[in-house]
Amino acid sequence: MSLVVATDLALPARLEPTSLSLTAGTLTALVGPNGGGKTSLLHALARIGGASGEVLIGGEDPARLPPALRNRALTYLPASRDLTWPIRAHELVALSGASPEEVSAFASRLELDQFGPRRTDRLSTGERSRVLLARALAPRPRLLLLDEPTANLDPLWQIRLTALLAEEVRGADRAALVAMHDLDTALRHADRIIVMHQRRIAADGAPADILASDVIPRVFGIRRTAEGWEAA
Amino acid sequence: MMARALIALAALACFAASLLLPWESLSTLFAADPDLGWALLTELRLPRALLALIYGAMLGAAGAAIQALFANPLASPDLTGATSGAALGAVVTAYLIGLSGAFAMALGAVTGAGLSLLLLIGLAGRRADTSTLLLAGLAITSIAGALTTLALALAPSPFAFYDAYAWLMGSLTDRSLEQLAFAGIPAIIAIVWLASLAPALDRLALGEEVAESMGYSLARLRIRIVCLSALGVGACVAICGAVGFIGLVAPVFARRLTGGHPGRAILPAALIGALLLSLADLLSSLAPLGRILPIGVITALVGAPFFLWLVVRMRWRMQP
Repeated sequence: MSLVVATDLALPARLEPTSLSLTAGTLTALVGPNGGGKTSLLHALARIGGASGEVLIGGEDPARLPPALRNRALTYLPASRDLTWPIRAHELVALSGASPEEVSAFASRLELDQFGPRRTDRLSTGERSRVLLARALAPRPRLLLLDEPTANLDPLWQIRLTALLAEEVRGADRAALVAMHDLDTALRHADRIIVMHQRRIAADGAPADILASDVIPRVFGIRRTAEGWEAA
Repeated sequence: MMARALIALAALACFAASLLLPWESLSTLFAADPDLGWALLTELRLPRALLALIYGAMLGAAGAAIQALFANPLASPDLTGATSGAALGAVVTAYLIGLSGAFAMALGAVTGAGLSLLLLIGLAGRRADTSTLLLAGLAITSIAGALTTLALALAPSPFAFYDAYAWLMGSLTDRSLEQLAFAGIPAIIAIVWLASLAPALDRLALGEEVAESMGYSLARLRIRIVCLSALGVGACVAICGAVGFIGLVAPVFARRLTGGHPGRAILPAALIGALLLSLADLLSSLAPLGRILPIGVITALVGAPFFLWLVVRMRWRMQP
């Protein structure tokens, strides 16, 4: 059953009218070349920047929910890890509106305890990424919208985060839509792949079907060989 | 909590001191005629001491809110041109239109401050970098200053310059209880309302997009902060003239009490602002110069070096 149903989502000059639905318990990868519309689709679903169209999560429009409940419906992690004000790491996670138990649970799962009291401007970009991820994950929203969550993370943390996302979403009444550039990660770990190209959905299907079709050479200009990816 | 209580206590001590000091004139008057002594206390010293607390609190709260909105620790009511816009509005209302009542001047000042802040957002953009923000603020301050001088030069009254000068430099003395009400009521409404925006401003620290995804509308927040700052600062400027730098300094210290949270710093900034302006007022009346110094001169003398220190710190990429 569809947990998330989005109809006629559009952002002027950024996203052509798009409809999609996401099934509970699934992790969907959002891939596409630069400027293809990945971030715009995430924005439209998170109701950022005056998007038109309708989003229903579990039959409810998140835009109608007050901020205190909205974080239980969806959270959004932007690709930028820049922050304007230096706040202590554990206090930043608490801004998510999650309960203190949830905040401390995710702080320890992302191993923030060692630098929790430190200010975000004194953390490395990778450490800051983990703090921001904890902020997005802690309220345990039904829809996770993550833009490049593994960017800036070292290989160990990339693996850990992928496992953590799968553990959080699979079998739960939740869904994740994750924008990423790494096609291998998408093909290996996602239940479904949406390919964005020229501000609209170019392909949508199971990883094996996406790989078997001509969409990757057509959209990205690359193809997979025994050695890896090369220009098509 | 402890630090906040201490600041509140210190502000109250300043308030009490400005009621009682200088002690000789008060005690002499009370000894001669208790009614006169009482009048000195309630009609002269009380409005002044309360205005110092309220105007200082307003500047601190507006400074914290404006800094959080622009995501810039160098934004403040005076550096963004809001204070000079308010002064222009009040001067035009009083000297060109000829309405010199407290209400009309407050209305003129509120309009002037609001228009300046809207112009700043138009010129510098929504999340301005420091140099654009300061340059746009400087331009607005210069234009408003020139227009204020022009309005005074064109005023029918030959004493306009002399009258206006003392007021423009900022002064809390000889204000009536009625004038206190015209500045105080809008300022208290504005401070309380601004403080209620703290959760939204704290989330804005996570970035505009994240705040919007959490259900906080930046457009609505922006218009509220502009209107409330204009209302409170404008009303205070109309009654007490322009006082600089409190709105810049108070939030910087306040954020140290709130772990860097910009929105949560609004109320502590109001407390610190009240303390700073009360201290400046005490200094202005107790300085052994034989006369009362304009309070704006004292805040500028102390505040401008602090501003320079902030600029130097930012150059070293250490945000306060």
